[in-house]
Amino acid sequence: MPRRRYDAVRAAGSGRRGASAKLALLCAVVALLVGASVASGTSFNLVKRVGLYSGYTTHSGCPQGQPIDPINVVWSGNTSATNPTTIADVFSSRLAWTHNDDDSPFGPDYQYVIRYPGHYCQRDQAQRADDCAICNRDHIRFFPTYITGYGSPFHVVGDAHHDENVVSTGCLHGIIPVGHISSDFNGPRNLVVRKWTALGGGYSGVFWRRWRNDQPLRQCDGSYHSSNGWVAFLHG
Amino acid sequence: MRRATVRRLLVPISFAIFAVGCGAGQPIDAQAVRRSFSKLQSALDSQDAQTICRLLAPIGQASSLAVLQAGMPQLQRMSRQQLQGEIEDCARSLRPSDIEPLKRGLTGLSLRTVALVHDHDLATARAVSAGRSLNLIFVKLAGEWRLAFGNR
Repeated sequence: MPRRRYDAVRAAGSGRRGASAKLALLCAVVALLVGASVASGTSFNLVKRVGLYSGYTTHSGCPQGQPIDPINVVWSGNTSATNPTTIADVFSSRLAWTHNDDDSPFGPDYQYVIRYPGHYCQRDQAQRADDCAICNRDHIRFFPTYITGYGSPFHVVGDAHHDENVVSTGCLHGIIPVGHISSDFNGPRNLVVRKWTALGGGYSGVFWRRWRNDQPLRQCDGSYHSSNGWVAFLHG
Repeated sequence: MRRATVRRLLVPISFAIFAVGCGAGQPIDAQAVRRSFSKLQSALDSQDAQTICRLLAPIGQASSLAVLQAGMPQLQRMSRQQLQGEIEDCARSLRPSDIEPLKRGLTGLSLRTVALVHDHDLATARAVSAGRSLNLIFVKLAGEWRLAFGNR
């Protein structure tokens, strides 16, 4: 009998502990959910503040085009000098990324981003690479996305990527099978950040934000490559 | 031969030359595409950067045949000097590591069918080798056929 009472007391105590454990767990879950939603909300708002809509990748032949490369660098500035041409000029003159497909008589491969507000397609306005058009190379396109009314209004976004030569049988219909795939996004982005911030002066400083642009992107040779989703914010 | 007879014969002879020229144009161009592709394969094999840069045309990767057709008049306006400048720049930059994947991918391929399109300055070709096939595009610039390279 005493033993049964003891068991009952223990059972009651265990029930109280169980209830508080459940409550703690519930609180933790709610906190996690709230945290995650705030974090993702912040990230989403930042994407809009930069002037991009939901797709954080470039698109070939927007709006029907397939996602091509993730946006992974953003330049922000307080004047209209933060535009694709001036950023590209710095790449040519100071970072030694002198190759410009726009100068080629064959022309460049144009891509697009979807801008916010308005949900319209913006074609790249400049681009630079560290090597020739049929070379393995690091390459970036620059898109103007500035909008007014959101603090610092001048933004340029870029899609740093590594172009690698392949001959492939896996391209979508209509895609030329001898040419480039994008085999890396993080390496070229980090290189851009290192070189840009090393310029010093008004170009110093970087902060990072994680956007949800880390989906694996299928390349022409059947391989998949993705960004880790981190976007570098630089002074333009 | 009297002058009047010569004049009478001149018209049908001109027509005949024109007809033979038109009829022969397509196979001759198809042969030229094959020759150019074969030259490119040899150049890749010997890592001859100058020839590789001459026989590859870096064009936007997603350029469909329709887009290329639309852009051909502009490409045809390119001067030989401009084209040569591009080739020189390219040859200075091209390294063995750039060439190797192209050599690996194009060696052993042979062109089965060559179809000429757009006033004979564009061609599509089915390239095959054991177990694989590719649809290639060639553009004719400054009198020479060049394999389209999907620049990105």
